[in-house]
Amino acid sequence: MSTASPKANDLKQQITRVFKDNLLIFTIYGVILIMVIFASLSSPFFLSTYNLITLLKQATVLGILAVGQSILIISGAIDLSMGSTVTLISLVVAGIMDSREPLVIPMVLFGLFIGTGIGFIHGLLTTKLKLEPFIVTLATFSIIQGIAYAYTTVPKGGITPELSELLYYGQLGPIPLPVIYFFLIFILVYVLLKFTKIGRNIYAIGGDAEVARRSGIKVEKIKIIRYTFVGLLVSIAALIATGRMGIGDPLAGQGMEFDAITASVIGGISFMGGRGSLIGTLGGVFLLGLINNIMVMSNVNMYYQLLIKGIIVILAVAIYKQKK
Amino acid sequence: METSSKNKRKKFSPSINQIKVFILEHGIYVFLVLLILLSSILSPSFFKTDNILNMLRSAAVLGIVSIGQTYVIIGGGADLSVGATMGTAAILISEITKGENNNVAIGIIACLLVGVFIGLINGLLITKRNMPPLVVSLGMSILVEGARLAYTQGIISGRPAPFIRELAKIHGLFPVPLIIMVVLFAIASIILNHSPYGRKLFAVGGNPEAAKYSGIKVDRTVIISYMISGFFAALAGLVLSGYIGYGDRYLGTGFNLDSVAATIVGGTSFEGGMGGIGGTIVGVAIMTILFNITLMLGLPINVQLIVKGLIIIAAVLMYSIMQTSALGSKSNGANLLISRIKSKVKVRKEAK
Amino acid sequence: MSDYLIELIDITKTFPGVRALDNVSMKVISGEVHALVGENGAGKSTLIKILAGVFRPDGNKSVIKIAGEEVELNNPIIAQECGVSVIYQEFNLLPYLSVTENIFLGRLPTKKSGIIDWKKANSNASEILLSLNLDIDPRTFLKDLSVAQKQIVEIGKALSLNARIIIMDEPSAVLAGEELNYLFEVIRSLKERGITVVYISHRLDEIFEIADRATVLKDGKLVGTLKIQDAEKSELIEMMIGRTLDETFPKSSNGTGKKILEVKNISTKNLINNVSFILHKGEVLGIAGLVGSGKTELARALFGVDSLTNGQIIIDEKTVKNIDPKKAVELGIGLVPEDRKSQGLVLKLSIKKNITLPVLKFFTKIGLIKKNLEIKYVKDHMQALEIKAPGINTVVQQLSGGNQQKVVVAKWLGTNPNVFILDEPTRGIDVGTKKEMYNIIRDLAEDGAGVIMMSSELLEILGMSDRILVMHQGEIAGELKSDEASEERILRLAIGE
Repeated sequence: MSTASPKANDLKQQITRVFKDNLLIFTIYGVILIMVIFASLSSPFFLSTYNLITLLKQATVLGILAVGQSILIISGAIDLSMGSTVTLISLVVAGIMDSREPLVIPMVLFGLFIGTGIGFIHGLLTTKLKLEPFIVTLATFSIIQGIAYAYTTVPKGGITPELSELLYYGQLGPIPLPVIYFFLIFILVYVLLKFTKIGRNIYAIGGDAEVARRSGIKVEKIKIIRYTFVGLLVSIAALIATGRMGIGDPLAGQGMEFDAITASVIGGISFMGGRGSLIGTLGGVFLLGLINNIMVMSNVNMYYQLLIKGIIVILAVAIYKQKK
Repeated sequence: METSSKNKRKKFSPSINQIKVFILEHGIYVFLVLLILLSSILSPSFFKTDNILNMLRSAAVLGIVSIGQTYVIIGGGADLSVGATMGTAAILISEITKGENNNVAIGIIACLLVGVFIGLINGLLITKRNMPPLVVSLGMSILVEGARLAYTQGIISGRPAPFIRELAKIHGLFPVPLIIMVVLFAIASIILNHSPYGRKLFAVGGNPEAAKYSGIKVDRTVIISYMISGFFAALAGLVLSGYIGYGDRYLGTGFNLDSVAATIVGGTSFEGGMGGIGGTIVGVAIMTILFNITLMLGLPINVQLIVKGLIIIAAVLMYSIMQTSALGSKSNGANLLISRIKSKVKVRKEAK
Repeated sequence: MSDYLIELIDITKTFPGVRALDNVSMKVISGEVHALVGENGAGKSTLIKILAGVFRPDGNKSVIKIAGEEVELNNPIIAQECGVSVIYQEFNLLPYLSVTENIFLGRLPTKKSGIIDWKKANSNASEILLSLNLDIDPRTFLKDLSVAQKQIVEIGKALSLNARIIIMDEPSAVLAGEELNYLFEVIRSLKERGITVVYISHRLDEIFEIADRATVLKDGKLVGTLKIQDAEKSELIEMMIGRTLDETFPKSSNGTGKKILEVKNISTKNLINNVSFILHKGEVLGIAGLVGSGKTELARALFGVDSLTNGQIIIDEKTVKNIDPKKAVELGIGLVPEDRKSQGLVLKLSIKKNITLPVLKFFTKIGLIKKNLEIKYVKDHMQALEIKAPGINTVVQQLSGGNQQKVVVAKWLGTNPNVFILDEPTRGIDVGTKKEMYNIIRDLAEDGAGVIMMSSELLEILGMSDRILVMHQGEIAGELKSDEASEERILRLAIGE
């Protein structure tokens, strides 16, 4: 019976299986390796600790958003409103705080509340009213941006230097704090997805919500929790972005939702749902950060940077054929 | 006794239901009329000729791009690169004509070709690589904007040819853009409703598998819809540049969402295979009036973003309820809404 | 306390326009293998879906008792809690999760910290699978297993849920030979563990091999329950069929004409391997085979949905190169696909728009569809096939299964097809319409088309075909003339003997 079947405890077969199942991820990191070699050959500065740390530091906001976007795509949803939410939180938190010490804690909490609340609302709209995630978040993208710009369209307020330090510029030993935050979040979500029931249920829902429901999984509840949690991640990313700027920036989140999607797509997270690994997403984030870094380092004219980004996005789309 | 009371209810309820169904089914027309009444109450200047002509002119641009969007959405997709295409057409025409009429024909043709080409790439990536339309078209819009920026180096281009400016003028009581839109609307409606291509598009949007099994080239049909969308977006960009008077990279901003909103408000379903251009035009009217009201009330321009988002959600919700109630379910729309909002209380009889 | 583990008493279930079950009762003794048999459309699936909590029976007369206690199976979860597990033909499994996860979906064991205990989960999964004689690494993705292995995983999942009753919906439809024997071994071992098995099939040999008792359904009604030990095959057949073939099927009248289609050694990436046959004008060529034997794949290949990797298709003496659906339509091939809802119809569109979809160019003058021509065309065809609907603009979603199927057939009438392929043409339609469909098929052949009819209903194949091809694992296992064919001979070929 089990002639042609994968047998247990056969090391060689296990290695082939791991390799076969994760071919995409090996490819991404292969590409990253090649790019690193290429970059370090063309510029000795590239491999300097300073540059690598800067690279990581600048990738943290995108990284956190991409983790959130990956959770959603794995479970068959998406969030197009991430960028607007980042902008809104940046403006409101910095705008109201206006560098006043006593307002630091309340405003940080308020910032977290905004993002989490928006996530919760997305959860409700997509489950209780059964609306498509794509159309809902396209609409809330507009609404949130409208609210943000109704508040202000110019840079506003500021956060205290201490908060800025804590969120972005500080270091623990040689490692910048935001990098630590990102890796803590990454490991937390990785463990959540891979080693907890709710994480596995997220995969099951993305694979086939109906099968999940019939297996007794509370699909609606998990969908709501998932959006709320991603909302929390978005607000953390927004706070870090604000820490970097130091002020409320109306362009803080511009285009970020799509960068997060791009990182996930490059990382091999399938839009068919139910498959893909955060390790891939991490690769996608590294890759985008690397490209950015190389462009800055080799002094690419800023007017070409968007074009290069566009080419990369379209190439990624063209390379990954999604199976039906 | 019980049966007689049941009969009574049966006899009585349909009339109320019929009214509800009527309101739901003709919701957008009722809404449009109410909106016009409301506007005239809110602002006496609403019915002034100038205001109406201006509204018609801006509605025309949105109308043109939304016609293309409607094709794409009926085919089961979405085109979020129309804004970038519009901006590109506006800059291209200024670059080619440099304020003179000499090259205007070549300029227009070039713009339209660029629009169609962007649509072609969109369509190819969506069908052949099986990627979600929104990812592809957003990606394309980054690529297009990047290419434009690389070309212009961020410098605002010159003026478009006088002929292009004519396209956006109001002659007496006739805004030229509106005439253009009406002509395009007529042609696009005929193609959608009376040509084999239109039929195929509905079939492909409704069920691509069944369309394939009927001998229809599904991929080709979808690709063409994106090319049509690109064509209309380029055309809308031309009219808009004539209106604004110069090429600007921010020119098309917002039209992605506006055109999607107008199409959805007009009753074209995101599921594909349902809808029409007539509804889209009503959707365009509603969007335009709403924008106008926010302006007249002196609200910040960005409140329009909120209005857009809310109306998309409202429209999607309304149509999804209508559809559920139309397909066999006995309960009327209002009840359905209530039952959706209330989480269902599960009656569970435990078995030991 | 009765000996019965399951008692279904006076179950009635009505769907719009169809009474699927009419006062059906069935009692299953604890620990037995109980076969549920009947033709397609007899009501077997509806009955088990009621037992599985997917459907609810009508009215208050219907009673379901499990272990003597009355239960209300409002949803699948409750049925599961009552110990009922169903293994459907389309598995309830997720291809991109591991075998372990599929078995314990939603119920993975965790450590105190809330972290999933993968080690325990995997070893539990292994243990369950080993007890079912399946030795695989439970960390494998489900998609990498064979169909038979997936079936065992489903059974393992049921066991992990402490199922007392396992219902198998035609498990043998996708298996043959050694795999089938393995399944029987598993069923016997389940029986030894005291698990009750309800086994759905319409293959008599199996029932005699594995079942203790059998309940027969026909047209939504109970025919009877009998003990297999005391029963004769002929008795069971009579109960299943209950009518002679001549009553249902129209006679084949005129002989067959000239060769219209020749298929030479075709293969596709999708199962079909080196298939050759000839089709004549005016004949009905039946294609039999188990589910997964390649019938549907053959239809797809002939219609150009799957491209050929090898071989030739010759229509009217002309070799067709690179066939695709569009070309197939132009060449006069019509296909009524297996799944009418997902492949045959655009449910949201009207009857008119569906019927004229393949033939739009007939009414197109200067790029536009001529309304009047189209309406007349649609009305004519609706009349010819007696499609019952309020009007030509009725949305097909609102039609009954039988009328929907007629719309699919009507799509092709206007193309005057030379080759008419019907894949499971009577699946899911009521008995009356079935008979009409048989007449339509016969008429098509008499009007000069060559008809290819794929069906897993042997009775239909035997009743309708002038010639029968039997498929097995993507190949033609044999050809039978109508006078030499019998249920048994077809089955033998179908399972590869």
